[in-house]
Amino acid sequence: MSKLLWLIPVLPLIGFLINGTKRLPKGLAGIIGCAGPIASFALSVGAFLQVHHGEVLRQHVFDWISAGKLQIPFGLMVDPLSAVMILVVTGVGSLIHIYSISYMHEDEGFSRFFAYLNLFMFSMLLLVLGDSIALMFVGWEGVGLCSYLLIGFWYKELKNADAGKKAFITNRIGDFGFLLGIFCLWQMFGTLDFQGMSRGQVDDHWAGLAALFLFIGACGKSAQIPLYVWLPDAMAGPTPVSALIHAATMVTAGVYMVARMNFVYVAAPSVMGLMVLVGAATALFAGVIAVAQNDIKKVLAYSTVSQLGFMFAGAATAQFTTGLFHVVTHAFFKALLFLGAGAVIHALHGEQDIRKMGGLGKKLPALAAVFVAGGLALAGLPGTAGFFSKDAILVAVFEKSGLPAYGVAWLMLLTTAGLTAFYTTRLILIVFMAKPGHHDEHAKDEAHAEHHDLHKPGILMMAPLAILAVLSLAGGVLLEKPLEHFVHPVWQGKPHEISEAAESHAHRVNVGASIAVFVLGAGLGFLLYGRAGGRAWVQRFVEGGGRKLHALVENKFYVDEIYEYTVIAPVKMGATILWFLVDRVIIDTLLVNGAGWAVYGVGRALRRTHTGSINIGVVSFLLGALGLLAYVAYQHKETWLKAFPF
Amino acid sequence: MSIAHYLILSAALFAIGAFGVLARRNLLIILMSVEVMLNGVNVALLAFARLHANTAGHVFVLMVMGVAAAEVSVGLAILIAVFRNRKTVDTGDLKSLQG
Repeated sequence: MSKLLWLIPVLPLIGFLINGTKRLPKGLAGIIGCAGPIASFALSVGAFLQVHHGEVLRQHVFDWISAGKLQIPFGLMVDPLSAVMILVVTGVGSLIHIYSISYMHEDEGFSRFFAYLNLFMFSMLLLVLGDSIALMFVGWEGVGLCSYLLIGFWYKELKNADAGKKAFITNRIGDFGFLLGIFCLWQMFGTLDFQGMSRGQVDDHWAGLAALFLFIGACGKSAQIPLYVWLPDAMAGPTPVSALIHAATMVTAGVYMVARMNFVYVAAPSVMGLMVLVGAATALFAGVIAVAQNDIKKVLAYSTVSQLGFMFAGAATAQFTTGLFHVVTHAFFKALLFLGAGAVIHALHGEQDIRKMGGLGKKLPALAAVFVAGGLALAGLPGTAGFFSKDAILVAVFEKSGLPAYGVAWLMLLTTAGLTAFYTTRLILIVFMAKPGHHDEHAKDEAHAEHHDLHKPGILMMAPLAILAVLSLAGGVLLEKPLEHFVHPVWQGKPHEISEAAESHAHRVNVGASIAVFVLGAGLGFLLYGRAGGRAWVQRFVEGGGRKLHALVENKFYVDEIYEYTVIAPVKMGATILWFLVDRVIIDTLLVNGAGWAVYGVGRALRRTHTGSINIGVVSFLLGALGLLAYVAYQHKETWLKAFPF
Repeated sequence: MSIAHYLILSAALFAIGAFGVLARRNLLIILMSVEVMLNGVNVALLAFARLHANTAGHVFVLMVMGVAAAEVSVGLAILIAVFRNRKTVDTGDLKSLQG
């Protein structure tokens, strides 16, 4: 098996090369696009089974960078952590590929779409499988590139292309931190491969710096405060992209990286404290914004940012399994929700505004059922996957709440859990239950007209949704203990020390609190959006007393505008100064044209000496010859003074 | 006669030639003056050859004469070509090299 590891990333790459260079008929292009990820999934299962027997698979593919002390082979590694990740990436990825055949069927960029999607799979698998942080960085940049390409997939609209650029540039800021982190690791360990680093001597000072810089990188890729702003805009891409890249896989790369570098992070408790606060703050902030969004994908996007905050908070407790567990369950239910949202949008011919939806439950019962399954898992209905993973994180944070940062974070996370239940209930009730156009009388006729020719999702769309729905509901119960046991050998350092009594106490408190906030959030959601009276009250509140508050939240607390004035405008100003002063004045005018002008001026001055008169030429020649003669005579004056003693 | 006499003659010839080159404007005269300068040098060479009893000086003089003959033939040919083109050999009128 370890001889075949290279095939796992390369199979999707082959799909990319075929679909990227040839314009095949859509059927064939779709089959080729799906074949790579599915074959990779089969190989991943094989690798997983072998890892399950306690082996760690390694393959040295070729020597990549070899320069003196710096030796970086192109090596792949599957240990329990990466085994879990490749299963999620290829498994959920394959389902999304299959779904895309149906979803993108009428798009003229069909082959291009699958080519990019396959390239993304290659990069993501490289990120996860690479056995050194340098190779991980290659995958890290690769997924960033594919994210950019797919967000701007419908590039003919400027808005989409701009969203792609925003994602790319925001990620660049994070990647700069990631690079600095790599340099710190090199300084500390003198090697970059994970095995070598994990056996190396950890120095507290460098570990803190490396952990901080790498976390900045993770903030960019995984959309944490302050670099989260690109993810909601990334919804400009096709919905399967949002499901695959911006919910299930790429954005969780930061959590994977933190888990992978666990031996560095346990040595940097202050960075962990920062991480738990950033994670919890992101979770709460994005959760609040999600409440007031009216675009179905924007709600899910902010929910994703919020859940990513949960994952970082979990990882920050040094119980990395909790973060990883949430990565896995979140991949299931958020992919399901995005794909379900895609099916809704598809059915309504591109309508994304939830105020124009409503009443879809009766018309699309199967779709409504799977969407509700995903929603319940996200909201944390006891028994669903989301409940278990969120609860695990809450327990982990609660156990460390002796430290003030963790205590504050626990409260924020608990509030977020309630908010999550609230906005999920709101979303489901408005989209599937309420009468269409209830909130907006004007849109009523329009919405009714649209609902007559619903575009029903086909089997290729429903089958992946059904599989994901089962995983979202049952994944928590089935996976929690096996995952804990399976991944445990990866974590180094002291096992988690806490007395049984305290642990069961934490569990009791958190299960109770989780259920309470779920009931509270979902109940409030029902109260406000489940009944006509509630909706009318919300309408009055939004238009009356809460108008300013609602506008503030709906406009995302004006963070984009704040960045516009505090970051982007100064950068633009600096760029203008550099362009005008340095480039145009100093370089272009002074140096480039200045050199030309200088030569021209000297030439103009010297041409006066070219009189064309032969006599003047001869006189100067003679004077020159005499001058030379005098010089030579002066040099040898001893000799001739001796010969001619005047 | 000491070496000094020969050298004075040589220097005088050279100076007369140089004066001719500088002061006259007729190309033909300038060419002749150059010949005078060359012969001034020849006198000096022969005088030193005699003084040091070294035949190298003689050889050089023969060499200079040969070169001078070639130079005069080329120079006269140019002079004739210039005259045919410009109808003048006055250096005051030949200024087309002005920058």
